[in-house]
Amino acid sequence: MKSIIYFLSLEAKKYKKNNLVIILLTGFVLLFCSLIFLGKKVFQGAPPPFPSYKIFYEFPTVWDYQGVIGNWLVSFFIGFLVIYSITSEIDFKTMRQSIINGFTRQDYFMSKLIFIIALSLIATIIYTFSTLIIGMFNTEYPDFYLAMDNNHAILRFFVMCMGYSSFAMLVAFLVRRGFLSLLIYIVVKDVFGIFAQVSTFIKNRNASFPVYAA
Amino acid sequence: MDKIITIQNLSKNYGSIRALDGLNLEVQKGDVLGILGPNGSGKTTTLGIILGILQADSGNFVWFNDAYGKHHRRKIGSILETPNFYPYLNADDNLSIVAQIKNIENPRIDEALETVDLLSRRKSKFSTYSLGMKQRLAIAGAILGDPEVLLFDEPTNGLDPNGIADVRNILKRLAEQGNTIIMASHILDEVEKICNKVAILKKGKLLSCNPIGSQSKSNVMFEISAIDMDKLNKTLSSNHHIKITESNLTMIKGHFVMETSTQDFSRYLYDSGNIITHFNIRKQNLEEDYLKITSNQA
Repeated sequence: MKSIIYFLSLEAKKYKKNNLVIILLTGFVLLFCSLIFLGKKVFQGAPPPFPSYKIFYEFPTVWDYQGVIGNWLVSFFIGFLVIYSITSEIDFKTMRQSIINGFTRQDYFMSKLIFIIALSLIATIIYTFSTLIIGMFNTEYPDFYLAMDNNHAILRFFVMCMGYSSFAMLVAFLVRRGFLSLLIYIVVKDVFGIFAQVSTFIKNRNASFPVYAA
Repeated sequence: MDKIITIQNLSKNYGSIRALDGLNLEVQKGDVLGILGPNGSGKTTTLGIILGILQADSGNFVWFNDAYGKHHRRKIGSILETPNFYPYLNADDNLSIVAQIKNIENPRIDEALETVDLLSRRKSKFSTYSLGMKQRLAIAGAILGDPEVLLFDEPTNGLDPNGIADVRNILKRLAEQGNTIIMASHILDEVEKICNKVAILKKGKLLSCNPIGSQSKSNVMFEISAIDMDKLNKTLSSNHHIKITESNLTMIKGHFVMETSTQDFSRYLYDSGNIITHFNIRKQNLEEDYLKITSNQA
């Protein structure tokens, strides 16, 4: 526990005054809490077979739709942040300096691993609370069991965050160049994303309204 | 005496180039060791290996008799090549990161900044610093937490004359305070002024490792010129206490065969009717030793 706090406070010292990191994190939080309301424009005045936009905001489906938005935002904002946090240190040679100053290579890796776990936890907490609040205000008869009927959405969201950020970390450590890492990360993630969507679509061909959430 | 580091039979190849060839070296507490050598002689490679940045092909090294285990680098303050800091952070923040990595409980950041004369710029971002200030901040980072040994790789490289003078004064003060220092450099003058021991490297081999001044039997050299050079030449050639090594129209250079005091020598010249316009006396310096040692082994 002591070493977790040690590594976390080290990363906090590195980034608390970094404009890029601050902008990415605030942008992430603001968009995450507001982007879903774009949904009000969809299905507006559509005839009966189409659902109303209300399903975006009601329990339990709000978990899925907030999850879709989170998926997109995490893959960009958190993924970029992780890539930046590693490639910038290679660029500034501060990674090398950390070793010279006394870290072992394992220490350095641990500091970054704990950093991405912390980021994923923060993103998951924001997801949980923003979804609960949106659902609470938009469901006609909200109750605890309905709100929690989410098919482990919180756990799935955390796993998704770890997936994106650990993949970003892998690319950053292997490629080492900032811009190139970003490019490879985006291309590979989108190719996998499309592949996953297509395979889900084929599996759920008979479902009336397939949901590819989180 | 406490051993700081023992290097045994260290070798490293870059492809077909042999950068280090069976290097043996031992540094004791209190040594101020200068590692001298031309560019590409393996100085930076040696420091890189003992700091854990590079992997040696063979051989080994032991820091502090293995007293600190795998975190031994926390007890070493070092600058390797360029100063590396976070450009968007100021001196205080950067040093507190260094202190955290080194696990120093109460880092005396003020004191370190004062040593390198950066207190007035402590709140400026690192990216706004001049190269000299960056290097001084790197020294501040190295001395943070009173490490057992300081390691500097070409500390004055790329600095302007002011920067060089600043950095040298700091290093000199650190050496006088009794710190153990290992310093790689290709600038002889610098090593001569700061170090008390010098190791000469060439093509990855250690040619010599001795206290400064003991490389050769310290010859006292002189340079002399007078209004009447012919007369001076005659006076000096007839004297058996001295040996002329170089003589031209403006200056005569030579050294004393027997020990002679400057006072006696100048009285002797005056008595024999020479009017001296330039007179310089010095011990044979490291440069001559260095050139001799490296050219012998070519």
